[in-house]
Amino acid sequence: MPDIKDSVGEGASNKVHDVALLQAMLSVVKNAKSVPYLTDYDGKPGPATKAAITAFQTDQKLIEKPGAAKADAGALEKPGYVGKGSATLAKLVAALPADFKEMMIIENTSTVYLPGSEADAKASAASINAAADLDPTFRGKVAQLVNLMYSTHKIVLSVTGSGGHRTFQKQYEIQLQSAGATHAGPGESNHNFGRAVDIGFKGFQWIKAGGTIAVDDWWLNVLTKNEKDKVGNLKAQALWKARDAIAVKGPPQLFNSILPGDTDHLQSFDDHLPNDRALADLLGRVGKLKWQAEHKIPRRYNSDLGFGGKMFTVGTAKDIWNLSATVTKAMVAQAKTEALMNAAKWKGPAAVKAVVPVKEADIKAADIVSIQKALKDDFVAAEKNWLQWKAVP
Amino acid sequence: MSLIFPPQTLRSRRCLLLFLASTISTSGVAVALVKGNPRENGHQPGLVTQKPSRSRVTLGTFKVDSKGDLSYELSIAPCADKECSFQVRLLEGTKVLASLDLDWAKARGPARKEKVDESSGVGDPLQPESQQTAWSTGEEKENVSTVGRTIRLTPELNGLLIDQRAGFDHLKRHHYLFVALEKKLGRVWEQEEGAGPTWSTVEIANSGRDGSERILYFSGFRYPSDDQPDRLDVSVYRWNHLKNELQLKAPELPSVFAVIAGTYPTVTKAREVQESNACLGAFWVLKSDVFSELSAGKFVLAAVSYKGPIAARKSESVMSCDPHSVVSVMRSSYGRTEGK
Repeated sequence: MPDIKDSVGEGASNKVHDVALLQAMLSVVKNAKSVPYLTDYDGKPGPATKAAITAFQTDQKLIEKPGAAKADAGALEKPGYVGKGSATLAKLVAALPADFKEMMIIENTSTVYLPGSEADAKASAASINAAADLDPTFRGKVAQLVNLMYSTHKIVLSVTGSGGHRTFQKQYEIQLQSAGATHAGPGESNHNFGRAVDIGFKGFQWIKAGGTIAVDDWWLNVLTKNEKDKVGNLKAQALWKARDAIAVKGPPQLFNSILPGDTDHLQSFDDHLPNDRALADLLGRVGKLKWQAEHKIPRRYNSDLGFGGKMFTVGTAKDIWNLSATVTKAMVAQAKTEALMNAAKWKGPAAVKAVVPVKEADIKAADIVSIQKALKDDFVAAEKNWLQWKAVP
Repeated sequence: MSLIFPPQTLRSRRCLLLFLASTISTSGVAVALVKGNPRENGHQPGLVTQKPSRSRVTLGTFKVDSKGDLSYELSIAPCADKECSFQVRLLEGTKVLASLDLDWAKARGPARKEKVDESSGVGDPLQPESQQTAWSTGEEKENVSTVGRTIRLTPELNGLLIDQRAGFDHLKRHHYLFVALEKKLGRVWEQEEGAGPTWSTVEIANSGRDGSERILYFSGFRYPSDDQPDRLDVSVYRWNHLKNELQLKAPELPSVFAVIAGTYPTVTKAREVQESNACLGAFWVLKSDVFSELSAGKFVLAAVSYKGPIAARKSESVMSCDPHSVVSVMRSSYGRTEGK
């Protein structure tokens, strides 16, 4: 049942959520001529709100009609004023059409909405809990967020269509085909290791101007686009903030994206930590080669090519994934020579002196292809061992 | 790749370090030559002083008009924190008349030049303004790319258009227009991308016989599911010199050139075709209703440009990528489907 926390109208506390909720109620309740008392709501008290309250009170005989005989003052409401638990509020709630009986609002926001279904919330939490491609601790926290969001605000959150785990191949395709979407290559996205989700409000039903119900998408696009200028955006941001009051500041203790506007994204670690270093760390632990991230633009990786010596710049994650890592005959010859020298050091100076440097001409095209494949194989191993990924400062 | 430009002969890394060390050690300041914006009416290259760290870093200066001494300066403001504000200042000669912060994103670390690309949000949707210079700050998730360029709002007045892109895993863009009027600086227009798979770009287009220009703002949303088509909005803004304000050109719909790669009965079918053809990756699944030249009620795979030759080149590149592709180019009024 819709309820205000304090009071609305002339001389009232007029908190934005109370005003918006009362205005929304007055925009769906109609008078005897089937005309709503208000046409819109914005959470701001003003003459139109006061007039609408007064008109409703008059129609409901809660206040005296101007010029009518004075009634018992104790039985009457204060004109243009609605208090918590007041007769005006009770009458207003009773007059709500069936579809609007459960209207509600979050404190300090101005979007009035209808509660989502408990079954949907449970199904969303269950599907997150069952997502084997998300880190178990992380998915537990995301499911906890869904449950808390529903128990606190009766809002159902769910993971967007592409907002869960993303394979390296999918990441490669996105980077290749839609350069405006991401700069993260295979293994460089927060979504590649089951520790990030994009989670939003799909199915969220809110009350539009004129007392109609809008059904929104995960990103609150309908709400954002509904209002002129920045009002819709601010309303949407208030809802994201309500989500984060639980997700980030509440028990799940998840982390936001540091990117402005990337509000749907949540993850298990501080987003300031670099992804390329974490990938190089994982490659080094589960792969066969040695790895380093250069951590500068363009984001390239260094590897010892499997020879245990000097590190060579082999290219971006995209290059490595599509088997076009930078591996030259000169690099391989140098790496092989160094490996021979290192091995000879154990045998003494004479052995070192006896080492014959490997020439570029000795390196075959097949050797290059083989190393490029070995580089990719480590990426494949990293993906296979995604659970071992950890954030690296 | 650095903001600081020593003479050409000193551009090796070693020489650059020596150059910096000598200038810093002798005077406490390094001398930086500010590179220019290639658009006409752009800035005059000039010298600014720069302290070794966290002093103001000028990214470009741009003429307010062709005659006067007023200019816009785009810079990274001095600060003592890890993050410093991007700032636009209105200058009269060297005198600072006003300054405004770009509060969407902050700069971390030194600024370096980078190329404008499809992700920058600068230029036509199918052909980024590659001759523009982007200034890149911060690494990976803290990366911010900033482009400043002038737009001729009237024959006598240039505005400063700034396009920023931030992020790594996800990318977002933000666009600003600053205008100097009566020696005051105003942020008269601003667009930001919200949550989800968004994209936007700003193209400057000729507006009238007097050479004035207008803003074409393309903003898109790629729905990652089969139950909804993508959304691509095109808005045209032009300067009203009588009211001194930027106005959305309405209700007339903008005219665009569209590369159409098939009409489909459902979103699902259109997405299936797109996913099976890598050459169509950058296309949008749109309601056919948005094109006045097409019959309503269906879905098209489309790429949109403001310029016919660019659309034609895109069409050729798709056919070159996949000779079996059937694509066509058409000119059409373009608009939102609401109310149709």
